[in-house]
Amino acid sequence: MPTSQHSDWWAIALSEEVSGDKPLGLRCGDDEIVLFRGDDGQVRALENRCPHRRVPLSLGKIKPGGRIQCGYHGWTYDGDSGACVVIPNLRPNESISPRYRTEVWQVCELHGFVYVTPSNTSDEAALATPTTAPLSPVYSPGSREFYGRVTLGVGVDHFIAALMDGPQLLLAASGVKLTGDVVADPYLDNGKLVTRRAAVWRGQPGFDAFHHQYPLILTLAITPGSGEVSAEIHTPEDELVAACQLAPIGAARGTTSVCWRSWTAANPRGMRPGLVAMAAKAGIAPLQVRRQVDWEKLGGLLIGPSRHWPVANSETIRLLSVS
Amino acid sequence: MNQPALSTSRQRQLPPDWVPGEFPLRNAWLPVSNSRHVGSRPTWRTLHSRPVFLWRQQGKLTATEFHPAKLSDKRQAASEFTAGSGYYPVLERYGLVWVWYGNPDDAHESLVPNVPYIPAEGGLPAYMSGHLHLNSCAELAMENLLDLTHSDFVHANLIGDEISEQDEITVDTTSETITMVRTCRGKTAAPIMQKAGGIKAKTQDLRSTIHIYVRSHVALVYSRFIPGFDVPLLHCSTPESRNSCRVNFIMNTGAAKAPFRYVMPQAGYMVGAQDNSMLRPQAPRYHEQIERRDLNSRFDAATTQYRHLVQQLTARQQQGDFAYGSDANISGDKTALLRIGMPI
Repeated sequence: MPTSQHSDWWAIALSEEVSGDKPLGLRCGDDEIVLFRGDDGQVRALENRCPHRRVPLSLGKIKPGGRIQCGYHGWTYDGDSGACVVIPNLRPNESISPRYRTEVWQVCELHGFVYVTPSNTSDEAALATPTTAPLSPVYSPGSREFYGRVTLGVGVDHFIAALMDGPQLLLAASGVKLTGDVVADPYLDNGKLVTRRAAVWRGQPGFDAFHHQYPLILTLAITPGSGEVSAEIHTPEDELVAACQLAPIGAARGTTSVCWRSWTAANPRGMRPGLVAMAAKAGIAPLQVRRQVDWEKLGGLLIGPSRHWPVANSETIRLLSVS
Repeated sequence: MNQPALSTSRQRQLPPDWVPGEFPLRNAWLPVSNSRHVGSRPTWRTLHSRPVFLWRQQGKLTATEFHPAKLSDKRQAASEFTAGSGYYPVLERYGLVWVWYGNPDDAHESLVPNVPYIPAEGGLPAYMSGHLHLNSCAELAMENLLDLTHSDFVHANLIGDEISEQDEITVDTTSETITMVRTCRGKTAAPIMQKAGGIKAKTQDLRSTIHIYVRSHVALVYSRFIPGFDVPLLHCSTPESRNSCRVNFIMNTGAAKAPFRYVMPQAGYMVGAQDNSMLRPQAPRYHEQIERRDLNSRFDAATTQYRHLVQQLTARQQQGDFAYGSDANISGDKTALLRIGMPI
């Protein structure tokens, strides 16, 4: 499978959100996209706008053969080519002009996310299938997987910056308290911007006069461009406690819609990692995006590692690479 | 975060070709309220974002720009639409209150649209009328009416699906009106006629004639179902703003069987909600700064001609020409045009 770590692929939905029963309309930055699953199980992505009278196609119906029908007048589009293939009540000898079509997005599913990229992308590298989970050798949720979508009242860049500076304000971990303490400067790893924060077991002391190291490390790896974030909590022995993959996408009015999936290690070693895994089996997500954010604290959050993030520009990456 | 390239490649600086609701057409009677909603206590409406206060002063219908309690204080701020008096020209016809939007000197009763199937003095039972609020400008609401093929999808549970043996549409225009006739044979019977009208047949023949007075945003819709009933509808989409309109409707179902006679007018509320589910997301997309014109099929002949007619009227009025063309025939009898009583 080809991989590209600086691709133009955007993870905009969870696989579970896209069904063959009802189209899903989503915003991806300034673009509106409709996703639906054909009867072959494949996901299709089109511009969420019927070129006939501009109504969102997500208000329509999924038809056999990977097609979608507009709910207003029944114009029907092929999900692969975007071509209009049916205008109701045309006579058998009437054809539809090939220029009658809607915009198509390339789409693929990977690790439980649905990725899209504009079909007019000419960059071959950009068209490579996206990759995820940069720090895990293999994407292998060891226990029950959790997923969700949260919309937050900050833009994507601010969301990622806040995640770097105060992950405890945006993420909630089972049995673990995330702290604001930085334990390493941001660095580049396989093209991803990586930052590390300290974490402690709930009910246990952290770094103090009697404890010389933090018991847990939260690692955030951010993919420049798409803004995907891999969050993992490890013990100092590099045992995975919990992992979460976040896909933030710019939504309407400066908000950010975040899809996330989280899981624990397959065979956790140690009592506390085992308890996190047991809690997961009982239905408690090991790591997830908070639905309720303390906006007072977020507003007062000091700038820290995020000074390396703003738009993850190439200059920042170059400087970090040199250092 | 970078955004996909697709969005930037579509952007342009020029305005779109068709921006419905951008120019308020003047010199027309606009139906702002059902007559029975206006009493001695002032009630409030909006016309192209201008307030209109309606009340009956010792029985006399009155329409003003300001609340009657503030009228004397604010009269000096009165607009050209009341010639500085604060009082709009107003009259009652067909059970509706009509306000003149334009130069009051040009207001004349002969410019009230003719509605042959509703008594001029009104008086139809209350169950035959209703009012809706749509989240789109009046022009899109009028297009929605002319565009009968949407009924097959949006209102299929009431009117039936798109399947028919034969489906013909003709369109005719004057400088002020547009008329569309849709004739269907062997069309799937309307569920509401089956359920509430006792129609047993699986298919019906249908002729629906729609006549629109463009300036007034008033539509006469006369539908004949065989087997079934005639459904005469007066549909007024009065512009409240660029993004909203108030629909006053009267459906004269007096000749139909019960319970259809009572049920069908109330179905207007369901139809309105169904239409609004499409109009609401559709309307803002005509304000996009993106040059992509709508695609059309031959079934869109009426809506494209309606757009053309609105654009022509707009161009004329922008040049200061508010006169009605000689072919307008606004108050002429429309019985024959609507094919009332004629076989399909």
